[in-house]
Amino acid sequence: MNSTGAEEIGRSQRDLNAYHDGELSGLRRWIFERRLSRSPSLRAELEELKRLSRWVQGSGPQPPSVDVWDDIALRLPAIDAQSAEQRQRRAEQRERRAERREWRGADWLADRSRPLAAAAVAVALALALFLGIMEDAAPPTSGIIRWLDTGGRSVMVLEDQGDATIVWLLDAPEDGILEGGSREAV
Amino acid sequence: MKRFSFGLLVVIVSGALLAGSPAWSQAERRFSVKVTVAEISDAAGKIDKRAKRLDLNLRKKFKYNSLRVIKERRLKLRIDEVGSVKLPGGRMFRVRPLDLGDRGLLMAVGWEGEVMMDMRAPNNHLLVIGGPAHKGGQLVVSIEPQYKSD
Repeated sequence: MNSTGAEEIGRSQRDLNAYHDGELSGLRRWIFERRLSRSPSLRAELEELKRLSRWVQGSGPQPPSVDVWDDIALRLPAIDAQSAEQRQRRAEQRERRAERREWRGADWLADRSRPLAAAAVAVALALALFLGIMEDAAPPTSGIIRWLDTGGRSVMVLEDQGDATIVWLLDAPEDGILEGGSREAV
Repeated sequence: MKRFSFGLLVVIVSGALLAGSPAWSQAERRFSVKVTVAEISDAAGKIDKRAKRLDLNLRKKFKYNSLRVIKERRLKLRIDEVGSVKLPGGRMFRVRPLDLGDRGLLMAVGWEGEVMMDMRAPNNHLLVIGGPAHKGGQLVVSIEPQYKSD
């Protein structure tokens, strides 16, 4: 019972974040707006989210604050990261749609040459598969650091490890055990 | 009119359920995050067998003589749930899964007073954070998300 309630709250929170970021579309947006119009507490949460967003955009880099860590620091960068990913996906989808339109409009693909073109595409796909060019199908192995805050300390990020990412905090001059790698302040 | 309204209701409810289902299933899902707290040092000593993978990756870039595992924890976390591990000295290390995508699990990671970061890591990817001085050596924390792919 409690877990269902927590899940409901979690889902509601995600919908709220998605709505705030303009990521709800169509039916989900309509349903959420109906909920919003009925719930003063939801509207208050939305206002709070907007206020926080404005506050974060308006402030510069802040030193890590332990007190608000759970509520703010972990949440907002993640929302930004998710929005950026979704924006990128949408841009890619737009590009693909534009490419498809161009493809449909191409004059050279006349009726008589269609079977030939289809055969050429099939051969190209088979070759691509054979040569292992379609790397996108392979599961990703490397990690991606979206956001990093060390409160002004230098940090070294080693991401060339294949299945590992090393984040090394540099503060003491006796960091003599370092053997190699490039220094990168983030 | 009644028939139309009922049909519309069915369509709306079905649509809402379909649209909401991926997020719903992700919220229910639990992710295993293995957290290992260790210390590397120039002092003579052994390399702890439990941290073989950590040693393999650290050794490529750092020189040390001993690696001692201080603590190992396996956290089972839902999306947005915070898991904590107390580090030597009393500070907390926290992990919070945020989202599962094509390129892995997005996690917020925080080492109290040292670093906060968001990282997307594929299944079994090893994230190592280290550097702070501890006794005669340096403290290292590694995290490893483990989950079944969809």
